Amino acid sequence: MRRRLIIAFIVIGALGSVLDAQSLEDVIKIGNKSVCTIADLVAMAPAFSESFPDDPELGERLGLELSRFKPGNALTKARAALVAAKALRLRKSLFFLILPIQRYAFRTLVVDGVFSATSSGGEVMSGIELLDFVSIVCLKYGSAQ
Amino acid sequence: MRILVAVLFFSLFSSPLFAEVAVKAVKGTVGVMAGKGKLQAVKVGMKLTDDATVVTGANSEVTIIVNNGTITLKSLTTAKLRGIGLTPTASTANVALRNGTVVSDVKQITGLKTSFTVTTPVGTSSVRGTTHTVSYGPERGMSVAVSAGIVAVSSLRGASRPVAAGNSYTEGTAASAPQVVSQTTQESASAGAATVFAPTEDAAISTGSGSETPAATELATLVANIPTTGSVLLTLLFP
Repeated sequence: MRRRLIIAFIVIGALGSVLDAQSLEDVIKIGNKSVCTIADLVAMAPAFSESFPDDPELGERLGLELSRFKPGNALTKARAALVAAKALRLRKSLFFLILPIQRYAFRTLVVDGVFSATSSGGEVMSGIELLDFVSIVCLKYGSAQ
Repeated sequence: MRILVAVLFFSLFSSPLFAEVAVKAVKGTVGVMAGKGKLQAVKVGMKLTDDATVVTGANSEVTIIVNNGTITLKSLTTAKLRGIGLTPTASTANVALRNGTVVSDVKQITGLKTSFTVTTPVGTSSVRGTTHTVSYGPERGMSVAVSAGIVAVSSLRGASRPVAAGNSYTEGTAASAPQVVSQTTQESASAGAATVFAPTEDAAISTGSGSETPAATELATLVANIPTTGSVLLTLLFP
């Protein structure tokens, strides 16, 4: 428990330091990756914060959700969906409200058109898929557009 | 001497010397890489070279003037400008979209043959004086929405097909066949679905049946007077 809290504080601190600057080098580097990890989603976290200026606590929630995974863990669609759905507090699915797990988070985003209905939550995301995911989520739920 | 002047004149006007690629507006963080060079920030008025790769950050966009049209790259888009050329009789431009969304507005000029294409990994959209939006993502495939004019969309798996104003075209990455859907069809379909799934009273109103029996009227009055709050007992069984 203490270890998780420490990791959470480190991630939140790291997010706070980069929240104001979305590095294009990071975007290009991630775009060229064939397999993404949780660390890549952490690097893309500023994109969420920039698209939701009305929600100042989003960074903290994102940090908390990302801290539940190890940075080296593979970024599957279901994991990305869970982080996004919990951080953005999506309340569109009854099943996700009752059981906020990866399966129902992924299904919620499939219904919203973020993920294709033919895809699987266990698929590891590539760099372009991650950029596309962030772009669609920000466009669909973001308030800055 | 005449031949020399003629050759100079011909080479001057037949080569893409007058091709113009300039940045009109920038919002947020936008970078450009010329060839395989280093990434540099894009500023208003900056001239972009052919073969330049433009990258936009989150919540950012850039508008670029390309010959007789403008293109706007939306947030988190990576696109490469290729084959930009302008002669007195022809204008060519190609945007290779890797991911993201491109909105293009190409003016049709009489006497100028315009070839403006947006290429994605699954298809190509060719415009000749129109306004349209092309977006591509590996998850959702290629989507083309036409606001004005006609666009010819050709997929890598099928023949070219025209998409008129008000219609959209979707080319998925999976094995599904490409679809052209008109906006009016979408609206009528959604209205139809709303009618199908609407409560009986609403459906009767929307279909204009109007033949209500006294019993139905009484039932409607009763339902209207009953409080709508209540409780639901949910039993979940887990295997």
